[in-house]
Amino acid sequence: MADEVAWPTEEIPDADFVFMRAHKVFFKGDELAPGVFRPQDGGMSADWNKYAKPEDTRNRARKNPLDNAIVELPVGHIRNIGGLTVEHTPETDNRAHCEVFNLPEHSEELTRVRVMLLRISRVVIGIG
Amino acid sequence: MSIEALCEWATEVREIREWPEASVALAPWGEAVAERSQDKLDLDAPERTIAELNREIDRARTVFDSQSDWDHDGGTAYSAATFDRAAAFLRNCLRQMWMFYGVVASVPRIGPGPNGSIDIHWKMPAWELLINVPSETSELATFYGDDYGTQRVRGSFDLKDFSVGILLWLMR
Repeated sequence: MADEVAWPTEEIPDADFVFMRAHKVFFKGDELAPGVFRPQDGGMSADWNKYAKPEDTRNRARKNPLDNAIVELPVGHIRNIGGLTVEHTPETDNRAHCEVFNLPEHSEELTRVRVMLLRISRVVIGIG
Repeated sequence: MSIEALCEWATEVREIREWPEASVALAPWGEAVAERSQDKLDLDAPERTIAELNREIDRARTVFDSQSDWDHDGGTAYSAATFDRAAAFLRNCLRQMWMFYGVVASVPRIGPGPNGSIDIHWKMPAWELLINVPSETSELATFYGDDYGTQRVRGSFDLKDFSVGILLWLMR
């Protein structure tokens, strides 16, 4: 059995992009809803485009990958939204893995941040 | 010249005339507003909006599932009570806009928010408003809206106390 590979953590440049899955419940027609942006376990999981293609991110869904669209967000724009950070957090089986941290706990500010994230996002793979 | 002399007001004499009679009979303010509104409004619009709102509520209700992990990715469960509170608030909000201001508001989109909350989202060409209805009744709802420019509004409110003035201001 091969040893597990520990990928080095790298700095993600502002000019790069991250990909996120967006489940079909967050769509009405082609329109994405702000509810897709929500913290889970302290951050918002994404894949860095240096090591992943949108299709890779979709195929990592635990169930029914085709029920997910893929959304692209520019890293520099994320960092310009109220103190959000984007950090490379590679996993053994996913070198591209990264997290958006510092999503506000205060729900009033979180509501604003989610609107801002929606504005900078772009759907690169639709549902199905 | 002394300061006192400078400050001394000159005495003026003016002829006092009677205020002229209004040549146009003015209707009370409420009637005038109603007449003006009827000139511009499509009077079937409220009915169509109610029908559209009911369709959106029905559509959204099918999205919300009481099972946890509804999106297979760790999604939080949504309670029927939270959904019903959001729907009731929205119906009341649109009703007030029409009844008190003669304005037919666009029907927003209802969707899942974080931590079992419900989002009510207007995304219009000239403005955007997101209202988040929390799952806990003890928490305040929150909102953020802007005109994609410098005019912004944000805050928290009790669902029973929402001022539709925020919507009117964004729709102006």
